Amino acid sequence: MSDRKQVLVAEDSSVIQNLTKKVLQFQNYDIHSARDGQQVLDMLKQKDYDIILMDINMPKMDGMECSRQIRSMDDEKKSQVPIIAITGNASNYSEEDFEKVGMNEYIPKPIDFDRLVEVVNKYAQ
Amino acid sequence: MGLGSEESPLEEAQPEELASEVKLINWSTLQTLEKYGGKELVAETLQEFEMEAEELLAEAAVGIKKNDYPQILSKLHTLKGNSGTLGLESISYYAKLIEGNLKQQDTTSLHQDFETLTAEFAKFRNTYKQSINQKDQQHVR
Repeated sequence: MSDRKQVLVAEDSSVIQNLTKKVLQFQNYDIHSARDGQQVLDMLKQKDYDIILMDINMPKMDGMECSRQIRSMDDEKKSQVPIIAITGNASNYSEEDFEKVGMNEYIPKPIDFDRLVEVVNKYAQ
Repeated sequence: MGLGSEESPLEEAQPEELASEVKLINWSTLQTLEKYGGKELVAETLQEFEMEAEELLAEAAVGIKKNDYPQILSKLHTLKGNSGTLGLESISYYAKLIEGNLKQQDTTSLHQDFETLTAEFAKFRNTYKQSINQKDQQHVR
């Protein structure tokens, strides 16, 4: 079993998905990818992750609903996984809205990758 | 203030004037990426962007033909975020302009702005590989 921290990146754009993957792999994280909120829930049921990076606008199930469902999971460890929202905020959510669904922090798009690495490192400790 | 920032009051601005200040490719944004994966990561990501942006623009064009505004908004929102993240400022600028207008149900300049956006993307597609090579040569010197 690897000692590396496990990061789940939920993002439907392959450009951002692959870029985030490579940047965080460079920082020695193990990266797992999901394309929509439903896939995040399915993967989380199978495995524990240390951090979830969550896009808001995704098909099937968006990041807001997905976060709500994670926070209401029975398994305490899974339900408390740090969730970091990554969003261009098409729906004009406020920081309070992100907090309400249980997200820990929010990184705006365009993504500043120095900031992303800083936030991931903070929650990985 | 950079034009890509969320606070920029696009509604009050003159697009043509603003557009002349935005760069097709802002290399300082890409330099941040270079730290994490070298020039290969930058080249690979731009190539991936080119492919995905082509699809997004084609899907947005279908949305325009059908007057399907949610589809246009969804595709251009993704394009805005991706191009902004990679420092492709003019593409991001026009995607944001169209998104902002559509959110206010203003379609008066939709076709014209979409044409400009497509033209900016074509400029990017036709020049970025050469630009990367030129940047490499500058680094060598």
